[in-house]
Amino acid sequence: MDLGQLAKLARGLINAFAMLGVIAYGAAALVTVADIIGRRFGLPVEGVVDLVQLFVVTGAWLVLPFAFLTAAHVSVDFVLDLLPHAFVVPLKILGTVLSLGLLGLMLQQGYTTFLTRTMFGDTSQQLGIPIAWYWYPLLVGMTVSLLAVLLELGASLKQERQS
Amino acid sequence: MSDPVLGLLGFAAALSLIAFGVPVAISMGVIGALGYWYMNGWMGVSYILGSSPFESIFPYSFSVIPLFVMMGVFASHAGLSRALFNTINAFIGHRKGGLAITTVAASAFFGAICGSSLATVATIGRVALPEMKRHGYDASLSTATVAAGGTLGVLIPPSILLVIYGLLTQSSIGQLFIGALIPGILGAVLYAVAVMVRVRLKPEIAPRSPRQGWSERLRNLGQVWQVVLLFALVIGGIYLGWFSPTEAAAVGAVGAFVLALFSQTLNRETLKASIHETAGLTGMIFFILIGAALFNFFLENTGLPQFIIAQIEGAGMSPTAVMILILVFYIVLGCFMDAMSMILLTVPLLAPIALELEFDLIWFGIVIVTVAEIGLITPPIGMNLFIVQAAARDVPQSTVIRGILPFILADVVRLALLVAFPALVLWLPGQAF
Amino acid sequence: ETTLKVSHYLPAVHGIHTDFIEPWTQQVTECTNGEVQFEIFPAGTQMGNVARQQEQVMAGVVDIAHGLHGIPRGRFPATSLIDMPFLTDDAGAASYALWELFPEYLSDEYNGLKVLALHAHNGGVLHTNEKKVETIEDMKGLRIRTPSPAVSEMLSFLGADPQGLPPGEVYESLQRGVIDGTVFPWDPVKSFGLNEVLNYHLELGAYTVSFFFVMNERSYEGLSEEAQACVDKYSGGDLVAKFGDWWDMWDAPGRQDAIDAGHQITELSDEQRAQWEETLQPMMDAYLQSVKDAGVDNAEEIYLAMQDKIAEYEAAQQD
Ligand code: NA
Ligand code: NA
Repeated sequence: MDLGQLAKLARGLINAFAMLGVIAYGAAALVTVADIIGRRFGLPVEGVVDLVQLFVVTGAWLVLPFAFLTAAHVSVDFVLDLLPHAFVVPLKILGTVLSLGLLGLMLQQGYTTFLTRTMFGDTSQQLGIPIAWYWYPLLVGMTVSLLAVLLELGASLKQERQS
Repeated sequence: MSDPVLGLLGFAAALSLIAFGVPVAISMGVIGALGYWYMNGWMGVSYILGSSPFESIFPYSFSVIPLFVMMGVFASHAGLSRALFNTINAFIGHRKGGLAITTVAASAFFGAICGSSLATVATIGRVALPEMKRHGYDASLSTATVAAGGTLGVLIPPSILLVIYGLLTQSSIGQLFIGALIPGILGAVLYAVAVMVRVRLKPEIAPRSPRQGWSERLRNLGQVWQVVLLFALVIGGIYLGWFSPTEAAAVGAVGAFVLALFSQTLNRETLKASIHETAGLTGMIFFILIGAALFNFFLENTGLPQFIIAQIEGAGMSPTAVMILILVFYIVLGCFMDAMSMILLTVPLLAPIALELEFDLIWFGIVIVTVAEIGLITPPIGMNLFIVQAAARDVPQSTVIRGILPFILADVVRLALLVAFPALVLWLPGQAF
Repeated sequence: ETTLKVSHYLPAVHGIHTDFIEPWTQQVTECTNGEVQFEIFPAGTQMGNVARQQEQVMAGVVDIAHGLHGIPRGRFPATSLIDMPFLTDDAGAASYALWELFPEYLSDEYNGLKVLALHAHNGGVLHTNEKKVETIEDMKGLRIRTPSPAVSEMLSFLGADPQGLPPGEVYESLQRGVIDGTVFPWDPVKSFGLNEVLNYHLELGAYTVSFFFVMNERSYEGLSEEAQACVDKYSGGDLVAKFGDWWDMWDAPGRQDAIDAGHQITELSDEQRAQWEETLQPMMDAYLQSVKDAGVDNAEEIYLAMQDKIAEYEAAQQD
């Protein structure tokens, strides 16, 4: 399999994650509405806050790679526009290196924190859901985000070369 | 090197990275982490790198962000936004800057409900920007109106920042809420005035639509019943006690989705577009929260804000002069920090000074929250500027920043009025209690 | 000269900050002739996250921290037995019992930490807005905000519907009628301005919540012997003994505000308390079992020892 195919596969994965993430947001909305209606009739959703947090956390981390891939994050361009064109590619690479460095360190240290908190047996406040479930999306989302940053660099360098 | 100087250097470094096109979240995160490392060693920085990404997204109250974004996206794909703007346009579109004034009113209205400035900009921006573009509005006017409008809901109750201020200073949250009403409405009125003045000076930035007849207006009204229903459900439910403002976001999201289903505009393509929009926008907002947390860890450690406040306190000036200095300090700080962090960081230090100078703490709180919300639209780091730009990808940053200046001016006028006439804040609570 | 970082999760205007932590740091600084200085990070700072206090001090990001045993849930199962319903409604007694039990029963939960003090607040009060609660039957169906798993289980058992909200959202939820009431001691009722949205208060004295004040062991060992002696001098039993009066002082304004606002405050009689306690017995047995399942094999022994120490304290108070 060549690099192009791999990139395509990775894009597919990131898109699928984005969809799953938005579905998780939807689940947070639905469980809240179910509680609002249910509690009128004495049938509240037990531990609704724990569940909403779990769904939102899952959604947020699963959509993150998509935000990196589509460069949805904001940056300032007015100084960049004034610089000679030769600066654009090195600065673009600087941004990518910093992104990778920060994400990589967060992932590595996050994994350590994850181990500590699961070792302590932390659980959610109401339902006692193991805290690990709130961490898996972070670990997965950050790992795939690293991939997304690289793909985005590849795409924008290709665009530079064509322009 | 003293720590406050290190803080200043950190600011400069983060701004340089941002200026050179490094994403805002990454710039703040990288400088925050490096600065913290320098001050506290590897053990310290490894702890905050490992824990703050998790902590920045975990709080239950943050669930409003993705859910209100979803509400906005689905409402827009259900054609609700277009119907709303067509209708309002039918009534006031023939006036100067009519759509921009509508955007201000809609932002105040929506922001009042949801209380999150970021979500307001994302939602209203999704609705208002395409409509203003379609009607030929200049991008610097339309984007800036959306960004500025987003700040209005920060003060109009219910307001998360006022609750936090109340907790920090032990002042009555009820009185703060009532006291915020007039200043909040004043803010919206002044923004509308800013729009009108700008349009009067340069009429070509906001083309007037032709005046429409009453039959046309009534026909349009018949199409907005869905919007009215959704808003009535979200706001009415909060005021009737059916659900909390946090839960209202979920009701709004589900309601908008249901309306989109029935509007028959929801197909494979629009669904996919909705998902991508929600994913990109929320991913970006959450990652900025993470970067800001790292930067604030560092800033807090340098003691820079505390240092500046100590200087103000030590200067031995009149109460009014101190107040003006505090406001200037906030406006400058607001160029670099978000409103929530500023309040949390500085109010515990400022409240004792305010008490010593015999300021009314309710009045002081409203003024402080007003000035903190200005920070959301002051460049270079203004969250609302970033978010509106994320919603209007083709508009350069410099255009947004050019358009925002009249609104900042309107806010400065509002601040001056609040400082000169404390009754604007204190009269209403005096009637209620 | 050393600067130690102290973090806690309460606003800088709270009694914990103004009456306890700030004066404590000043005393130690004076005792060491300025050798040891302090920098305090309260709520609102990045170090002020309620769930992170223990972790921060273990990681060495701060040197000293004050936090809640119950958040995150499950880290101090043995210590948290003090949360059991109807153990005591007196902060002094609960704090005394914790400190007495610490060396033999609880110290395993504090590895890597130098424990400066343990304490617990006065018995919690059930505050409601619309509905007056006097009997167990009145609890049925009420949505009540709860601070800990033990209290959640107690409320469920009594027929109420417990809600785990952050303290900062209680005011608005009460105002909007999303919840019918909350359990809190009197102190947060004042600091969160809750008397504006409440009408009835039932002084159940049903539960308490406990706190730690701990130092990183390496930070402690890094101090000179004189400085260590100063830290010791102002910590331990003497410090713990102050919390009974402190909590009374911190609770008083909230109660006074409620009286001034014309609210109805009901206190349970001893017979009524006994009746509530009896009703709750199965729940308490199940809770003890769950603590045992969490790995505290001698949970019953600790619970009984707590009861003994509390009785001992109360007897001493009466002399
Ligand atoms: Na609001
Ligand atoms: Na700003």
